Order: sequence, then structure tokens, then C-alpha cells
Amino acid sequence: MLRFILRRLVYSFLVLLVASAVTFIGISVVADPTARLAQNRDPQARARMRTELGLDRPVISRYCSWLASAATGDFGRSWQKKDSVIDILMNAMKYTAWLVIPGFIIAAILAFAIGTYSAIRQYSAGDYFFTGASFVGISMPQFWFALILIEIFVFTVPNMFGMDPYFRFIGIGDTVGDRFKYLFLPVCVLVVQIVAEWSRYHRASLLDIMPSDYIRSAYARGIPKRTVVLKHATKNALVPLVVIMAIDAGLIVGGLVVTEQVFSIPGMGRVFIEALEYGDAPMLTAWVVLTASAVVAFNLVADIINAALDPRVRLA
Amino acid sequence: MKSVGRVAAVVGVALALVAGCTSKSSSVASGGSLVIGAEQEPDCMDWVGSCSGSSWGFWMANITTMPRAFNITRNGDTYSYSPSSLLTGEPTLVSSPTQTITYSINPKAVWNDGTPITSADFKYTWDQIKNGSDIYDQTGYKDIESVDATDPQKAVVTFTEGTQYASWKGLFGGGYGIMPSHILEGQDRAAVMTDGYTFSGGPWVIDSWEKGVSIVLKPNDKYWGTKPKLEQVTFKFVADTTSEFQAFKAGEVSAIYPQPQVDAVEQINAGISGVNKEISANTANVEAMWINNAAAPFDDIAVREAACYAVDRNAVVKALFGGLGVTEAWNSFDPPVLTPYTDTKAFAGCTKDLAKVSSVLTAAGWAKGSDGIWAKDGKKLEFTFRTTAGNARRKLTAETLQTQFADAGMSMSIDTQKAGTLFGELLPSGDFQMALYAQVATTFDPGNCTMFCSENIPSEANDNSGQNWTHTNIPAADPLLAEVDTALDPAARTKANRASMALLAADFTSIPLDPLPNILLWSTKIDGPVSDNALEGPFWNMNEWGLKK
Repeated sequence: MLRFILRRLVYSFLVLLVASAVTFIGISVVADPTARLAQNRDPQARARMRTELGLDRPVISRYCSWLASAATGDFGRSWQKKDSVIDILMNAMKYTAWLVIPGFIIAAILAFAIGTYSAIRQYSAGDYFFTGASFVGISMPQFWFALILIEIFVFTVPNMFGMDPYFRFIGIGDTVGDRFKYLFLPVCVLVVQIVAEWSRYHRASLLDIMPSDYIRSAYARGIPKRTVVLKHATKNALVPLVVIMAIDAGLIVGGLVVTEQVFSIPGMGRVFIEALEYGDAPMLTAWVVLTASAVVAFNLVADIINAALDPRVRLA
Repeated sequence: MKSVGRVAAVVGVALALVAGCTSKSSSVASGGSLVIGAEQEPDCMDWVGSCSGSSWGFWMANITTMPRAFNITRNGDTYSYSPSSLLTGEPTLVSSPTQTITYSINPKAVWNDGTPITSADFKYTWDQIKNGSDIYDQTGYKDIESVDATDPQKAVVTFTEGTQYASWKGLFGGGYGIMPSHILEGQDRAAVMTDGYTFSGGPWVIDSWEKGVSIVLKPNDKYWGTKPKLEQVTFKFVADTTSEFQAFKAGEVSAIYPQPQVDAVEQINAGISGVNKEISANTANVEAMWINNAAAPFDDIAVREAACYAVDRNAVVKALFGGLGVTEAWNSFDPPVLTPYTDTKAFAGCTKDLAKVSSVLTAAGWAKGSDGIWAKDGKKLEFTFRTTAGNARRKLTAETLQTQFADAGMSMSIDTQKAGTLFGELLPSGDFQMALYAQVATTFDPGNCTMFCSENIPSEANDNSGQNWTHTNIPAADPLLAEVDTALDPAARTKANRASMALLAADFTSIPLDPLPNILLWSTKIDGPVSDNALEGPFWNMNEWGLKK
């Protein structure tokens, strides 16, 4: 196990190195952060900024300098915002976490419940309903769904009852107490999107396992259906769901670009878009390193959980 | 006796008018807080640093907290510079032997910690901009030789011998303001100001700036002018235009200032109840079809002239902004706010006239081919029209123009590019034939030499940093354009500017299109003199706003 983890960490280091080089050099080649000064009435403004940012040096040299600093834990300062890149990312991560953690927990519970129900009640009216709803959830554009939710919960329902809208949708509120009314709608968007996907995985996984010999044996020994499903079948059926959840968790660390945009949440997705538009190489590279690290780490976690849930899996 | 009665009547009417004018502001109730939707967040609040230049940053936090020598005031539809309450009156300007300006500082003017605002602050501001590193714009300040701060109440600014700076009223204000030397001297200015600052010499103080979320302003209790009536103003950053309108309709924000994009115009046309709005074409913007005069086919003046007659600009403007009541094309490279200085009819002759297109091109040796496209020496009259990607309004504009040019026998293809690529590479390197973008004035001063003087055509001589991207080269216009930047006499400046605009129009160097209207929407619960100032933004007099009881 330890050898497996160490080998994965070495591979991961190489992946991060390549990802950071591709991102830094790529963004440096295609975007010019001084372009915004092109219409400045002071014709020397761009030249001054190029010198200030060190853009007069070759891109490889700049990347090597960045890498040397990053190796010491200093990811530099954002060219756009002049703040520490790490501070900006940590701040953005905080907002993304407010959205993602409740969304993930709710989605996991719902996906488990819906997937289990659909599997044990295969081809029932409820199964058809959840199957249809899943397809709608997967195929529905997040932007559109977010606006529909706003329309329903902020305008239609309050107007029907002659009330002021309770739910808000710009930011996440000033106090912890405000969070529910600000986060309800964006969390709903996230939950619907991922429940649709996860519940399908869990349903398919359970359906694969239910005809197994050991499940039939359990039924033959007179074990109640609830126990068979929840204790015997679920343990193995959870493996693919846990793996997909771990992979999604890694990806979601990078933020939810559309949801954060519509609900004005200054999370990781917004940081990415702003850095990309500006050509902020230090910011974008650190973002890629962080999200790639998260994907790698969560994949590793998925493998370890997989091994723990399924004794047939051996990590080597 | 009769005359005494007349005088008394006149005085009475005058008093009534004064009372009427002042009553509105004084009747605005104090207290309450306001939330305003902000489309953009500034990158930093170090206003003189290269991270500056954000319009929203200037409107929200600069104009409200930084003292300045001059304000750009709006009187109805006209704008003018007027000395701010920081000064005791109009500064003294001496034009020879060297340009010298003496600012007399109001003894009541203090920073929010009670320290008087003095000439030392003028000197510190100039020194930082002229000698500091990573400065956004040194124009004007780099021509100043010294600032004498011997008398705390008088700042004497002397320019370098042989230089004259006509736009001097934009100094110690503009996008910068005046910085407090007693706080910043000896400190790293950028480090102190970048994430927001606690000092203020304006009616408001920055209470907090939560990055990505909001900026909160509170009244400056030490402000010597009209103190704010509201207890707090919060600017919430709203990243998406559709959400911005939804938030405004839901009352989550009480005012918005959206860009005139297609969806914004549609939302306004769809109707929003219970709101006040001001839609103004009297803006600081000019959107134009900028032509590369050095690239074929527009290196032929006949083609530029034909392009001017090929397009029904009023129809384009009506299609874009007719829903806002803006239906007429703009006819100058100076924006509408600079009307006092410019010739607003310079391009009025550019109206759709296909017969003229035909006669101009035929006279220049062009002939229509069997495909209906003009051609000369085996080369068709075709060109690429570049503009910024991801802008629905510009895409619509380009498609409308494409149809009109096709009707006139000109083949136009559309190429959209990321703003950074367009402004950072393609335009400066002359890699375009025609492009659509806007120029935005930031001061109340004319001056087009940067854009049209031949010495500013990007070349090795100017380290390729020249901004005459249209490669305009009109020898007769050069001295006039230069005079606009240096003439201290406003009348001479205006005359030179109008004459240069006439020459630019006669050369069809580019074709102005529209003034990009400004849209300000605010809730009816806001009381007070809410109005948009095209140069200082919509929040310039927010200290006079209140909430209706």
C-alpha cells in the first residue's frame, strides 16, 4: 500500500510539473496582460508594465523562475490583482467550499437513495420518473436551470403569496446566518446536476450486483430484503459510486464556473475565468496546480477507498 | 417706487427659485443603507498603479474618497471643469515663460483623521506619479518640473521649460485624485492602497472591500462639504448581466449601471416597473469603424470615401439602441461630452448613397465584376472586419454592416478576436483592415494626437508604442492635433480641434458610428438628485442621495 502511494505521488509530481509548464508557457504565448494598456493615453505605459512583470525575458526563463519560487511554496503575486496568489486561491476556495460541501453531502444522500430505490423497484413508475428526471438533470444547461430557479423561487412563488422573496441570489450573504437563503438556489443547481449523474451510476451498479450468487444465497437463507440490499449489496455497489464521487470532488475543487457566474459567487471558477481573460500566468498556473493536485489526491483516495470496500482489489 | 417693486419681485422670485433648488436636497431624509449592483470589480485601489484603470473602481471608490482639484460638473447636457471644494477658487495659471499653476487650498479641507490637506499632498502625488514605478499613466505629470509646497495652503506647480500642457485641469484629480503624504510618505504606496485604504478626503470612507463580493462605503464624518445622508452604501459585484437585472427586479440591489448590451436593451424594453431610469447618448464614448489607412483596399482614399457612403449608420444605431431612444449616428471622433470642443457634424456627410459609391469608385478606376463586387487591377474590394469576441452587440453591428457593404458591392468578412489579442497584438501591429471598437474619454479635454498624429504611427522611432493604429498620415492635421494638446487658450484649442476634425473627415480616415449610450436604473425608493455623469460616473453626488420615508 505504502509503495503504491509513493509511486502514485511520484507520477503525480510529474503530472503537476507538465501541467504547470504547459499552462504557464501556453498562457504566456496566447495572452498579453499588458494589452489592456494598449489604449492608455501614455504610450510608455505598456513598456513600463512589461518591464515590471519581467515580460521582456524569454518565457522559459520566466517559467523557471516561477518554478523555483513555487518549489519553496511561494506561488508569486497575481499580475492582475497584485495580491499573493495563494491568498487569492484560499479565499476563492472558501467560497467554493460553501457551495460544494453542502451540495456534495445532499447530492450523495439523494443519489444513494434514488439509485437504490430505482434499482430495487426497477421499471416501476418511480423508477421511470427518476430515470426521466435524471436525463433532464444531466442534459439541462446549468445557466438556464439557475435562471428558472431564480424565476420560480424569487419571483413566481413570492408573488403568488404576496410576499417579499426569501431566497437571495447575489453572493453568499454577509453572515453565516444568511447562508441558507443565499446558498439554497446555487446548491440546488449543483445538487440536481450531480444527483442525476450519480444516481444513474448507483442504480446500474446495484442492478449488476442484485443477480449475483451471494445475493441469491442471502435471500435463500431468509435474510430480509432490506438487510440484503443495504448490508450485502450496497457495500459492493458503492465502489463505482465512491470512485466517481472522488473524481468529481477533485474536479469541483476547480470551481463551478457557470453556477458561480450566475450567482456571483467569487469562487475558484470565477478566479479561473478572470485569470484566463487577463492572461495572469502566475494565477492561472497556480490554479491549475491546485486543481490538478486535488484531482490526483482524490483519485488516490478513491483507489484507497476502493481497496477498503472491495477486498479483491489489491494496491501494488 | 415702481422699480423698487420690480426689484423686490425679482428678488422674491430669485429667493423662491433658490429655495426650490435647494429644498430637494435638504428634504432628503438621513439614514438608511443602500445596495447597488456593480458589474465589475477593480483589480486594485492603488489608483496610480498599473493595476488601476477600472471604470467601476473609479466610480465606486475613487471619486467618493479621493480629493481632487477639479470636478467635471454636469449642467443639463453640458459638462465643464469646475474647481472642487478642495480649492478656494480657480487656480492661477501663468503661461509664460513657463507654465505655472498656483492652487489655493481650502483651509477647511481635511483628511478623515483631521489632518489638513496641504500642498505637501500635491507634491507627494506628483512625485509618486512622475518618479514611482509601475505607474498607470504619467501624462502631464512627467512634464512638471517641480511642486513648491513651501506654503501649506498654496501648491505652486511649475512645468518644465518649453512644455505646455493644455489638459492641466485634469491633473491632481482625473482618475487619480490627491494622496495623503502624512500617511504614505516613506511607505510602500502600492502596498498600503492596493487592497483598499482607510484614509479619505471625499464624502465617503471605504469601510470594507471583500474581494469578489462587495465594497462598503460609510460617511466621512470629517468631510467639509455636503455630508452623506445615507449611513452605508454597499456595492455588490454582480458578474452576469441577466442576474444583474433579476437582482434589480427582485430588489436585491437598488441601482444598476449596465453596459448597453443587447440583453440589457431587451430587458429594458420588456419593461421594469417601479424604477427610474436615465438613458443618455451624451457619453464619453465613441464607437467607430476604425480603418487601417495603410492597408489595401483602404490605402485608396476612394475606397474609404465609398465605405462612408455605403453604410446607413443611422439604421445601424437604430437597430442597436433604438429601443433606448438613441437613433442617430455620432459624427465625430470626440465623444459627445466634448461637444463644446468638437465639430459634431464632421462626418454628417457619411450617409448611405449607393450612387455616390458608384461614382467615387468608378472615378478611381474600380469596376463592378459579374459577381456584383467592385474590383481593380484584378483585386476585389474585399476586407476583413475585426472586433471583440463574446460581445453580442458588436456581432450584431458587424452582421448589419456586412449586409450593407454587400449591397454596395463590397465583400466584408467578420473576424472576432479576444480583446487582449485585438488590442494587444492585431491593432498595434496594423494587422487589420477595418475594426469596430470604442474609444473612451477619461478627462474633459479634447486631444486626438495620440490616435492620429503621423509621429504616433507604430514604428521603431516610437518603440512601436504609438497608438495611431489607423496609420493616419495627414501632414496638415499634425500641427493642429499637436496644438490641441498644448494650447492653453481654450478658444485656440477648440479652433484647432475643430479644424483637425474637418481634415480627418475629409480624409475619411475612419468612420464614427455611435456614442454607446449610458444606462442608469434606480429604484423609486432612492431620493435625491440621482443622475449620470458621463465622466465621473453615476455615483459622483451619492452624498446627496437618501431613501424615501
